[in-house]
Amino acid sequence: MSNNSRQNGSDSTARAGGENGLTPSANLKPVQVKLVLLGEAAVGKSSLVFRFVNNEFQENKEPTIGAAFLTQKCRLEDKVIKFEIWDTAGQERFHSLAPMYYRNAQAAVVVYDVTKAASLDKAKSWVKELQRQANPNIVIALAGNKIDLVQPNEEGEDDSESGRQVPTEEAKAYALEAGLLFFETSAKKGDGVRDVFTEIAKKIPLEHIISRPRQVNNNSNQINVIQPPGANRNNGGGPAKDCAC
Amino acid sequence: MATFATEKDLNSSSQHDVHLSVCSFSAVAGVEDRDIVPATATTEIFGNFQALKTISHPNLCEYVEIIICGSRKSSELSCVGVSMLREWAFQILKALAYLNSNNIIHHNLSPNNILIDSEGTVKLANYGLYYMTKGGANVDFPIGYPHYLPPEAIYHVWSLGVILVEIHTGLPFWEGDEKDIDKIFSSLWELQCIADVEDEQEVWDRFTVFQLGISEAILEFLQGTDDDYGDFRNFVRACLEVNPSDRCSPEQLLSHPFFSSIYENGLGNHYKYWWVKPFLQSRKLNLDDELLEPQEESHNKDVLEGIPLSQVYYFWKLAGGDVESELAKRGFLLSTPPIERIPRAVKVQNGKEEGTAQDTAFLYSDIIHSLSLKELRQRLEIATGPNRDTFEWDTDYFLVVDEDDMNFLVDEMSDEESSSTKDEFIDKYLFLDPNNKSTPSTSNGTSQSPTNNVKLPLLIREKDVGYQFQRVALFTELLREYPSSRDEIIHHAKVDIPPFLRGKIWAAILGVNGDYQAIYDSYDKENEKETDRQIDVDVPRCHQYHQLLSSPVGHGKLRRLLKCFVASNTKLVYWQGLDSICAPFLTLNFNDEALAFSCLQAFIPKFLKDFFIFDNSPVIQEYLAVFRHLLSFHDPELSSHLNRIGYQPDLYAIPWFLTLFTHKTYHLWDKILVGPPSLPLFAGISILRQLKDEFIKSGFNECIQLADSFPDVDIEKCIQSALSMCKVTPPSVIYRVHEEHSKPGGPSDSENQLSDPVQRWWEQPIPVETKRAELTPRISLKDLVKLRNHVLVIDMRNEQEFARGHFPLSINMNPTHLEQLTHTLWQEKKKYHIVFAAELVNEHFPRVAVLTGGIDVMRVDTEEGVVVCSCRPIKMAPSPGAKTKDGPVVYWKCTHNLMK
Repeated sequence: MSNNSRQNGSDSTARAGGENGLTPSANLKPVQVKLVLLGEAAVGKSSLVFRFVNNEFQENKEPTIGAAFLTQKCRLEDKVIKFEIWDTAGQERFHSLAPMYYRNAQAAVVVYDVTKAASLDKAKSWVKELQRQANPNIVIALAGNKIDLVQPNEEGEDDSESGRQVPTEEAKAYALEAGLLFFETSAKKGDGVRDVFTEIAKKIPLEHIISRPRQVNNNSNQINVIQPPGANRNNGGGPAKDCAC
Repeated sequence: MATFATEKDLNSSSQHDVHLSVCSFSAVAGVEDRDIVPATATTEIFGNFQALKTISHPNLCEYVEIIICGSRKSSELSCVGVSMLREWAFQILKALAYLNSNNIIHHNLSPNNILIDSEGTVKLANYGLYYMTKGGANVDFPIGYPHYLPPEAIYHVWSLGVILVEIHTGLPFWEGDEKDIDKIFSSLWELQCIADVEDEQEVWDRFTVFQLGISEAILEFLQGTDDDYGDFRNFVRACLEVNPSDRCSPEQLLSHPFFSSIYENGLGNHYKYWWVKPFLQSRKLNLDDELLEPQEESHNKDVLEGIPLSQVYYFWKLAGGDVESELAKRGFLLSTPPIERIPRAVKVQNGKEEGTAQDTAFLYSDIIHSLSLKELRQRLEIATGPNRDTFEWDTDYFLVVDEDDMNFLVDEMSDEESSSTKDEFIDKYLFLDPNNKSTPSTSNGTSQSPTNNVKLPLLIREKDVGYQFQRVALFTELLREYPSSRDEIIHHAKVDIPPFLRGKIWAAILGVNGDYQAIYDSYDKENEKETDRQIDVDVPRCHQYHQLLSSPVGHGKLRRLLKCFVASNTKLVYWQGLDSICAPFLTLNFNDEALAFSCLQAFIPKFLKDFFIFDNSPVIQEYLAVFRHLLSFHDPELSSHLNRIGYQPDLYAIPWFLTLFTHKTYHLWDKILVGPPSLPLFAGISILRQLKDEFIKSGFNECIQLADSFPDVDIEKCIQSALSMCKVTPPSVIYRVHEEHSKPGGPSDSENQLSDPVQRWWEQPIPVETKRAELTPRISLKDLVKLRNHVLVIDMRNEQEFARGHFPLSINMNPTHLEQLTHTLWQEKKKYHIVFAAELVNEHFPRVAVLTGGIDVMRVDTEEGVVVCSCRPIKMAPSPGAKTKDGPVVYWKCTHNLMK
C-alpha cells in the first residue's frame, strides 16, 4: 500500500501493480466513500480529479458548471475503496449548491492554488463551513495545487520560490491547527495527487462505513446521492483496472 | 497555411470568370512556452486573421474567410509610362492609407504582391501576413523582401519608392546578387550613416551614395534635373526619405503634386472606399441584384457571377475542393518535418533577425496556385439549370399534424388571436420533418412533394452544393429585406439553416435590430469590475476546442462581450455558463462583436430568463422541477426509475441548462431559436429518452456518469422528438413563473393585462417547494377541458364525495387498488390521465397530471363551462376480478354522457 501511494511519477507501474494486486481479491465488495472537492474557481479541482481518475492532464479544461461526478477505486491493504467524487463548481455564486454535494460526504478535498494567496483564504472558509455543517466525522484534506508553476529560486539565497504566493509552511501550519490532512500537488505533472486520496482512505473510519446501513432518501426536497443498498452491488464490482492504486 | 482566392476579372459587372487560388506559408511549429495560456502560433494566426476578413478596399485583395482575392499577376512590371505609374502609385497609396487606418502594416510590399487586373486596377495581396503572424513572430521566415527594405526596416512607403523607380528604369534597385542579404544590409547601414552626417545637400544628391551598390542608372535618375519627370522624381525621393521621421505617410503622399492631375480630372472620387465594414452579407450583393434571379434565357451566364468570393470558396469546398490535396498534388505542400525547417543560419543586423533565403523557401511561397472551378461550375449548372430539382419553398411542409393528436401549439395560437389562421400558427412553431414527410397522414394531400433534397438527412443536405447554393441564395435575398422579411426567414429557417449564413440568420431570427453597434459601444468594457476575476479565469478555458476561441484575439473578444453583458444588464450577474452561451454567437460573428452581443441580449430573456440573476436558485429549481414533471409526463417508466435511484435533475441537469447544450452542435440551436421557449426542456427530455435503455439498467453512479459524459445523441432525432412532445404538452404543465410571458401560458392567464391581475386562488402559482416535491405536473382546468376527448379522469376521493359531484365520464377508485386496476385503466386507451389526488407515474402511465385545485375548481370556475356531474355512477369491476382482504375490488364510473 505505502509503495503504491508513493508511485506518483510512474503511473503505468502503479496501475499495473494495482491490477495484479487486485485480481485475487476482485470479489471484494468495495467500500464506498463519498468525497467532495471544494475550492475557488480555476485552482484545478477538476484537473486534480481527472489526474486521479484518468491519470492524464487536460490543458484548459472547461469550467465546471454545477458539479461533475466521477468514481475511482483505490486499494487499501485488504480493502477496495470506491471514491464517489463530486467535483463542484468553483464560482462563488454556486456556493448555494454546495451543501447538496457535501451533505453525507465522508471526505472532502479543499483545494487552493499555491500561486494565488487569495485562494487559500477561500479554502479556509470552506473548511470552516464543512466543520460547521458537514458530517461531523468528515475527513478533510487541504491540497495546494499547481506546484509545477513554482520554480525554485535560482539564487538559492533563501527558501523563496518565484511564482509562489502561499508558503508551504504557512499552509501546513494552518492545516495542522485545523486538523486537516495537508498536501501540495501538481495535477499537471501528477505529483502528490494519489497521496491525497490514499491518505484520506487511510484516515476514514472504514469499519464504521461498512457497518452503517446506507440511507435511502427519496424525499425530493433533499437531494441524497447515496444509493439504496442494493443498487450498486451489481455494477460496483467493475473491472479491476478501474483501480487507481 | 492560408488560402486565398483570386478573382481574375474584378470589374464585377462584366465578371464572368472566377478563379480561386492558393498561397501557403507555414507557422512556427510546436510552441509550448506559455503554461497558462498555451496558444500555438497557428491559433494566434487564426485569430488574428479574422479581422482581415473585414478589410475591403478597391485596391486591396480581399481576405474573405482565410481567402484573399487577387487578379492577374503582373510579374513583368517593366518600363511603363509615368502616367501609368502615377495611377498605380496613387492606388497603392490609397490602399496603404486604408491599411494604416485599420492598424495593419503591410511590411511585405514587393512587385510579387502587387497585382494588376485587366482593367488596370491595382490589387495588393498578402498584405495581412505581417499582421496575422504578430509581426512575424509566429512564423520561422522573415516577412518581407530585404531588397525593398528601408534602413530602419519598416516597409511601406520606402518599398513603394523602390518599386516605382525600378519599374521606371527597368533595373533592379540593388546591384549584384539579390540574394546577398548581407550586402544589402550593410549598404542600408551605410546609407543611414550618410544620412546622419549633417550636410546641406540632400542624401540622394550626395556623391557618397554611389558607393552603396545601388544601380547607377537609378541614382542618376534620382539626381537628374530634367523637367519631364520632375514631379515623379520628387515623389520617388519623398518615398526614399532615409530618415523615417521625415518620411511622409501614405496619407500625406496622396496630396503630393505628382497626383494633381488625378484630382484635376475628378478621378479621385472614383477611389472612395467601398464600405468600411461588411454589415450583412446581402449588402455586397446590391450591385448584382438581378443576377440572383434565375433567368432562363441567360443560361450561358456564369453561375458564380456576382457571388461574394467567400461564398464561391465555400461552394468550391462543398463541391469537393480541398486546398491541401490541391497543393499536395502540385508538390507544394509543406510536408518537410519541422526539424529540417530549423533555420540553418541566422544573421543579426540592426537588431533584426534574418534567416537565409534557402531556409525560407520552404516556409513561404508567394506563388499563386490557381484552383480549378470546373467541378463546381458543372455541379451548380446542374443544380440551377432547367433540369434542376424543383424546390418548392412554399409547400405546406409544416402541416405534419396528426389529426388525432392534440396540438397545444395550435390551440395556444387560436386562443391568442382569433384572426390568425391555423396555417400561420403552424408556421410559428411546427417544423417540417423531412424524413417523416410521407409517414403521417397529412390533411393536405395536395401539397407538392418536395424534392429529394429535403428528404435527405440534414448532414447530407449541408454537404450538397446544389442545395446549399439555393438555400444561400434564398436567405441572402431574405436577409437583404430584413427586418420586414423576418417572419419569412423564420419560416424557412425551420427547415434548416445554411451554415454559411448562420450568424446573420440567427441574428435575424432573434430580431436584432437598430444601431446595435452604438448600443454595444455605449457600455464600458474596459474598466476593472468586480466580476473580472471570474471572467478572466473562465475565458481561457471556454470552448478551447474551438480554433477561434482558443486564440488570444478570441479571448479578448469573449472577455469584452461578457463584460458588456454584465455592464448592460444591471439585474444580471456573471454566472459560469454564460461564457459558454456567448461562445456560439461570438464564433459566428467573430468580426462583429456588437452583433454577437445583440444576439446574446435577445437570446437570454427568451430562453434563460432570470437564470443569471444574483439569486437564481428559485428560478433554476423551478426549471428543474418542471423538467422532472415533463419526464414523468412523457416517460413515466424512466422517470420513476430515476426517481427511485435518487437521480435528480439537480445533480446532472444544471450544466445542461446553464449552457443550453452549447457544446453540442449548432444544429440544436438552429431549432431552439425558432421554437418555443420551452423547447430546451424537451430537448433535455429527449436526450434522456435516447439513452433510456442504458439508464433503466443502470444504478445511480452509472447514470450520473452517462449524463456527465454526454454521449453521442442524435441531434436531429432529439429535436424531432422534443417537438412532438412539446406539441402534446398542455401549457399549464410547462408553465413556469420565471418564463417570459408574452402569450397565455397557463394558470395565470393574464388576458386582462391592464388591471393588476387578480389571481383567483386556483390560479396562484404553485410554490417551488411543492413543485419540487411532486413527481407529476399539475394541469389547469382550462387545459383539461381541451383534452376532454382524450383524457381519462381518475377520481380518488371516497365514493360519497364522488357521487356528490365529479368530472363527466371520470372514474372513481380507491387509490390502494391501483395495482389491481392498472390493467383496466390501460384498457381505456386514453392519451392523457388526470388524477385528483394521486399519481400513476410509478405504474408507467404516460401523460399523467394532477388537476390544479381539484374538484372545487370546477365548481367555482364557471368560465370553462364545465358542469360538475352529479349522476349516479355505475359500479364496475376489473375484468379478471380482483380481491383484497376487504373484499372485491370495484370502481365507479360516470357514464353521464352515455345516458343522454
